[in-house]
Amino acid sequence: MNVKKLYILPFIGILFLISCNKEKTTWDSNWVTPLINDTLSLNNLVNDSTLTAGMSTFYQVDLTRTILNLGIEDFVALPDTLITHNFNIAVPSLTVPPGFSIVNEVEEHTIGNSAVQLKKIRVSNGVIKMEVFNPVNTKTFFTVQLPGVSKNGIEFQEQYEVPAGTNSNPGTIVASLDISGYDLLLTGVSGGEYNVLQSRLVVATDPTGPSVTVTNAQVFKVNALFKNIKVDYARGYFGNKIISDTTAYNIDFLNSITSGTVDLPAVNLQFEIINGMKIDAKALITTVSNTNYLGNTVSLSGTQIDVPLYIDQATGNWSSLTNSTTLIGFDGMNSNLETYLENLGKSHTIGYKLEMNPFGNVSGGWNEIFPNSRLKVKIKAQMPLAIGADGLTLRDTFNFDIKQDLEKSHVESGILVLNVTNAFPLSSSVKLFLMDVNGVVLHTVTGSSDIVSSLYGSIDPSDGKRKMNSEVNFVLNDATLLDLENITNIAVETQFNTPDPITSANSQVLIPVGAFIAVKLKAKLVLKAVL
Amino acid sequence: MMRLNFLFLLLGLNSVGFAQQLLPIQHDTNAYNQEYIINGVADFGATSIQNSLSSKFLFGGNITNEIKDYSYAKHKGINRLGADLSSEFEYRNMKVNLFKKENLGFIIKAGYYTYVSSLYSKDLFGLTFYGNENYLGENANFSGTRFSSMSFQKIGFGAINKKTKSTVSLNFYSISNYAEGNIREGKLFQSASGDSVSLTFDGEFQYASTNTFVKGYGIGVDLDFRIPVVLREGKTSYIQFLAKNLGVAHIYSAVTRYAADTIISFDGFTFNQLVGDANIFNSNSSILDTLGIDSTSITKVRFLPGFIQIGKIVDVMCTSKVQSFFGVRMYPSVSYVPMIYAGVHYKTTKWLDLGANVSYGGYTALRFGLYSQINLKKFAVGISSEDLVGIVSKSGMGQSIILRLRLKI
Repeated sequence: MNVKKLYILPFIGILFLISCNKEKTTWDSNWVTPLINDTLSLNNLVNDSTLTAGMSTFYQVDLTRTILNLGIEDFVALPDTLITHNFNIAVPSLTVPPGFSIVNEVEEHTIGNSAVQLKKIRVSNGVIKMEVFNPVNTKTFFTVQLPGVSKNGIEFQEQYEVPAGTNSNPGTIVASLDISGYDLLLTGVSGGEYNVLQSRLVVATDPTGPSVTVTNAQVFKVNALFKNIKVDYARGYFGNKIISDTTAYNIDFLNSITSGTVDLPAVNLQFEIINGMKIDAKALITTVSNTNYLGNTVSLSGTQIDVPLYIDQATGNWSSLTNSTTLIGFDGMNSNLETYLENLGKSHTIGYKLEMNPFGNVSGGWNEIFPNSRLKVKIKAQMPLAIGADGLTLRDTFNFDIKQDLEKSHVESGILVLNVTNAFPLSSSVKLFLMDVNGVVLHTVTGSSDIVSSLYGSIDPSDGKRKMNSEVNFVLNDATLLDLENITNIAVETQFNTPDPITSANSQVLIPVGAFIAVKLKAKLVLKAVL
Repeated sequence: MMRLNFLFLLLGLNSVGFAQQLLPIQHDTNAYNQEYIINGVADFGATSIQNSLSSKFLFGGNITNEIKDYSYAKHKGINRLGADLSSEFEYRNMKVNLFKKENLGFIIKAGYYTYVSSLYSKDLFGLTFYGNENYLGENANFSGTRFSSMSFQKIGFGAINKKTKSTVSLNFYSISNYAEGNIREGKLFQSASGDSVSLTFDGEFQYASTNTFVKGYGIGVDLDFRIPVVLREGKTSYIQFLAKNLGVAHIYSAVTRYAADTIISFDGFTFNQLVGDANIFNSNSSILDTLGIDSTSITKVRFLPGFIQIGKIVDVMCTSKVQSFFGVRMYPSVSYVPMIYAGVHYKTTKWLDLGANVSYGGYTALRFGLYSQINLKKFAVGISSEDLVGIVSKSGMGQSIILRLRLKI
């Protein structure tokens, strides 16, 4: 072979290499990273007032929820009302000297609606927009009086100086008056009416002006618009009013239960009806029921369900007002309350009916509502926070949207390491179900061990709490991570038990004050670098 | 002879398709009307990364733990690596009289160049290839890390002295890629249990972030002065002063600069940060802001990664069978230490030259080189490697292949 020709070969080799597609460069590396570090206690789950410690070392449930809260605004509402007071002289024509006064009779005006018969109210907030019209060709002085409308014993009276005008183009004054704090006596001139407001008008000609001729065709006019009137006291008869409702609510947490049972301690459930109004009432609990994850519905039954109970009115006046309180109580003796609660209902329904003045106007129109009067219905429950869980299984599903391109650097495998310090006397085991868009479980990742109940641990002398440490590993194998593309939902299933360390049987346990679960989750990942 | 030919074949088959110059450079005062020269070099060198690992980046494949372990064991506190991938075409016309001067011809040259260099710590290598699990309970320190990379194209015009073959050219550059990083202080601490990490970082990284091919321009010069000296009585030798791509570049397209001087500690998210309306995924605040990283867009003026080489070169006209050559080469980079080299040129026949050299410095340490050149009447082909060990051994710390084609008319 000609040696010189060999020099061609390197260049052929180079061309050959350039034309080749380079295989990707890859290597594996091992990474550890913290993911979650948090401590959960019952304060994270409920409001502070629901759980009390008291003198006990275990939590007590003191549940109080207001399901109805009515005040004066729910009984007395005055719409914006326009009162027009017109008058003209009784004779065809009259020449009056300067400073001459014409006094009109008191007029009555109906306000509000007939369903509520108001005798007296106090305005907490509101205005009167006044418009005064003068038809004569000299300046006049209008005095507007509202008999029965007073503040601190002084009757409402306002005077307006109105410029000269004509009948077709009267002199006009517009004014806005704040009537907050005014008492309105609505019994009319006779004193026996209701919803009646009185007014009187006095018109005086200009004492320094000329004599003028007034005819009966000229109309002296006042418009008074009662606007945005809010009332904080009312007396009268507020009608036979029925308030009924069926309240439905869900407890989402219980919606996640998929199996298992719980054992709850004896509990006392009360409906407390507080009447701060001087109105008789009648109350009725029509239905209480819940439906659990299996569709089982349990209705609360007892001697006080659907039985009318008469509610006394409040006593006293103003600062001496004393509420009447009526209790409707349910417990294990008079109802199936424990069965009702242990049904672990996710959806609840409470029906009630409240009738005001059930016997009509038997008070002579003397219902009274004071500024601090409320009509409330509360649910109250007290019990020790104790639970016995036997395979109680909660399952919740989350959306999952983490993809990785296997042609690029990606996680090849990994372990999620959960380190837990558990001060709750419950044990739990955790499973992850990785599902596709149709809900088909593609992979199941089971925790390597249980989170062990604190009853199996020891007392930490630093805080006196019994704790148990656990480590749970969740192995994410190659197959799982290769399938990330298809995983759209993750269901986390946790099964709770309350085993007794001696017998291993599940039993009811009290939850100690300050119980917590400290969680540290870290990931140990094998990263495949791809370049 | 057959063995040598086989080695040359291997050199060719293990090289990549770039070409430039360097060894051997010969002084040829023969008069030609025109010369066409194509040079190319693909040169990678490192102080601590063995070819078994670096070749995976070149040819692909999986870097096994065994490969990583071998290179990791070679690492010291601070390590260097660099690469020069470039090719250049040069046309010399000595038929014309440039500026009407009889001793001047003109040259035109064009080329494509990529330079990459880095100074890095052993821990940075460890983090990159092993992850942080090896550093549980320890600090991984990558302070002092520097990285720079630039790719550019050149077109140059200049003059050649027909007698001495010295050249000078004014070059215009188009910058196609630029990236640079500097970590003044960098430490990653992870607790022994791995449930907390802490990063101390003071440094910046910047790169030309637009998608345009031309991201900047530059201007510079190439100088090749051949200076006759008498090293031994009665014998003239030639000292070459060679400067390539000495100049500056202005990167006018946006250079994105990330800078941080921060300490970040992380021991996991709380549940409130992960769920609910105020979770971190719904947060409008930028991750960069959260991490204390400033992001700015700037323009940049940088020196081109040129080099200077001074040394005695081989004289083609010399009648001796054996000649020496030696010199020093310098790049303006902290990752590159001045490289000294020396070698022997042996003229075996009229048409075949062989040579061997040894060098120390640069991006690596001690290297042995070998070259050969075949000379035909109008055509010369040279092939060499500055790192013979790297060509034949996976334990080598670099790869080097240099090609030269020269057409003389």
